[in-house]
Amino acid sequence: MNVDYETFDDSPSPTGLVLTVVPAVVVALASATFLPAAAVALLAVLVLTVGVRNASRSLVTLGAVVLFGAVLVAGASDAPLPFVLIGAGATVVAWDAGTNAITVGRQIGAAAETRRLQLVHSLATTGVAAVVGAVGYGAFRLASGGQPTAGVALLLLAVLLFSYLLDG
Amino acid sequence: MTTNERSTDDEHRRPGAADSTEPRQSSDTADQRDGRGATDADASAVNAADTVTVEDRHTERWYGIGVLALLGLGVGVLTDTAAPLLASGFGLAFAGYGALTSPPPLDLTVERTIGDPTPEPGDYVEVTVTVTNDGERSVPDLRLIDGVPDRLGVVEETPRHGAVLGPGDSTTFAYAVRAERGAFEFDGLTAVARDVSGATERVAVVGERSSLRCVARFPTDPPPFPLRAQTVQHTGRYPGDAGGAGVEFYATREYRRGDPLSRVDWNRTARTGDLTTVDFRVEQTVRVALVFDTRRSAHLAPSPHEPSAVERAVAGGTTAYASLTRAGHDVGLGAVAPVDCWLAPGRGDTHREEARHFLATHPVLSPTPPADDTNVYRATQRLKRRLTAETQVVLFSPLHDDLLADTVVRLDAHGYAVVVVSPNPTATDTTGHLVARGERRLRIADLRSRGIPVIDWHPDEDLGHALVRTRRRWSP
Repeated sequence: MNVDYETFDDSPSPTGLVLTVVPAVVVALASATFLPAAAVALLAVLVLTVGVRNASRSLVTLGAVVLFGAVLVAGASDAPLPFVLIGAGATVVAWDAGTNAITVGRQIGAAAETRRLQLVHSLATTGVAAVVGAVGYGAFRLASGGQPTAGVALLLLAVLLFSYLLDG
Repeated sequence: MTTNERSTDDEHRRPGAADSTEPRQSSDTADQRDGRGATDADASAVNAADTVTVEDRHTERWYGIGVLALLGLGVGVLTDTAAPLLASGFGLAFAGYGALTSPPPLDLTVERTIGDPTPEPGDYVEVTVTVTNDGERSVPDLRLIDGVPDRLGVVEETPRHGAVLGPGDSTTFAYAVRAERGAFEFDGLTAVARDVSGATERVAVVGERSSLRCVARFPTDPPPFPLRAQTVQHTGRYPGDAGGAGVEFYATREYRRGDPLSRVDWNRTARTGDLTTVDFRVEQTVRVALVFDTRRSAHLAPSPHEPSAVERAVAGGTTAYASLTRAGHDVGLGAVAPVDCWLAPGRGDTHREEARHFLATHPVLSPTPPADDTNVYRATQRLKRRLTAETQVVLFSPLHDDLLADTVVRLDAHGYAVVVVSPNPTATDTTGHLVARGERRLRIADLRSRGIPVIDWHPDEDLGHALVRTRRRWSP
């Protein structure tokens, strides 16, 4: 009497993997102006892929940090500012999609219909990242008349306080 | 067909929650149950099931994103470049993102449709669930887990679903479960809604209950079930071990005064000149009690994925009931169990329906082992009070301990002819299992040596086959 019962497969769905890998590849492309940075970014893409496949939150976070490191290295070696901002935003989107895919997998599994849910989540994060990037870029343009570095640092301090207040 | 009931119990699913409802149902009579089944069938999706928010919790998933800001600031200051500083802005912004969003109030209606609420055991029953967002805000991240009863296995698709629901939108998902014998209650559906950032999740149980009742039909062509030899009581259809009026040839004997002339063998008289009377096999009605060993320890199976001895015993009992009533006998049902369990012998359509529901839904025959131990002596006493003289007992037991084997001997000694049907639950994978297997064999051999027929029923064998295999070396 053998019945094929469906067992609960808690691995992240392929959708989650695609939503993680695509922004990660965008980061690698954006940091391609400085080849060592692009190489590190590709390594991070690999780490992210393995992390999502194995539902390992820490591997995904490690991959995202390495990815962000690659963006910073590219930025420090005079990559065009828009590329750096796109890279940084895409890093957050990749990390967000990866960890979300792991949670979705744990809660409702790989067999359940989750494509739209994950897509909407990633689109929202991408939208927020785009706004943040645009505001940062605009602020930089405005401040670049006087003392760019100091102006940007002050602006960021203000944002830090703002977010602290919101969290409190 | 839809069944809707407002939930009054909004706790999380507990193991055994489905079983706790069984005693209530089994105390109803079969007729009442049928009546209620009919009203269930007519009820349509009416009352909007309550959505009960159980808790909100912070997922803390954006905690630590600020590290990106610190990294960016550090690299920017050290290399005196603007780009890393600006990149660090993402770390700060997303640290605040989670605090800006909040999960929408959950106002969901759930409608669960069960394809066939009264399936046969082994049937695949399709369950369709439709969830509608009655709220005015959209739910960007809704994860749904249906409250499938613990004992039902999902065989197709999955009872979990993810959806994005705008105001008024609904989503539908379907899956199939394999029906097992018994009565089941679906619990409420668990909904997990997250806000768009995923920072907070709201867990709710949506109170929608549906029931599923799975009752086996009797086999239409059951194999003949052997009984012990019996002295004549009432004329019926069981071939007794005595000569008289009947159909089947039994023996010939010398003519005695008063023998009906129709039974004189005139051919022989013509040949020899002597008068000889032909005896035919007398057929009789037998009263039989099918008794199930459902003690906690009897819930044994060769492996966790196979049906337990109790489950097989009940399946065998269903066949035996069908076979014996078909042969014209009165059949009753009972159990060696912690609580009383008895259906008086009878036959006919009403009794048949009663027996069907008794076998399917009586809590004592439930596939879940009972919590209490059974006092075998008291259970046997109770049984003996119920059994009238000359009642035959067909005992279904895995014979895994001496206690029940002794009971069989005692019943037999008290004049109740006992036949034992023993579903073999033993495995051969470990030494301990092999020893248990050997001990069971000895018990069976011992019973057989006392003249008590034992049908040793292997796990992957049809009961009919086991009966034929055993009958070859058994003369009743």
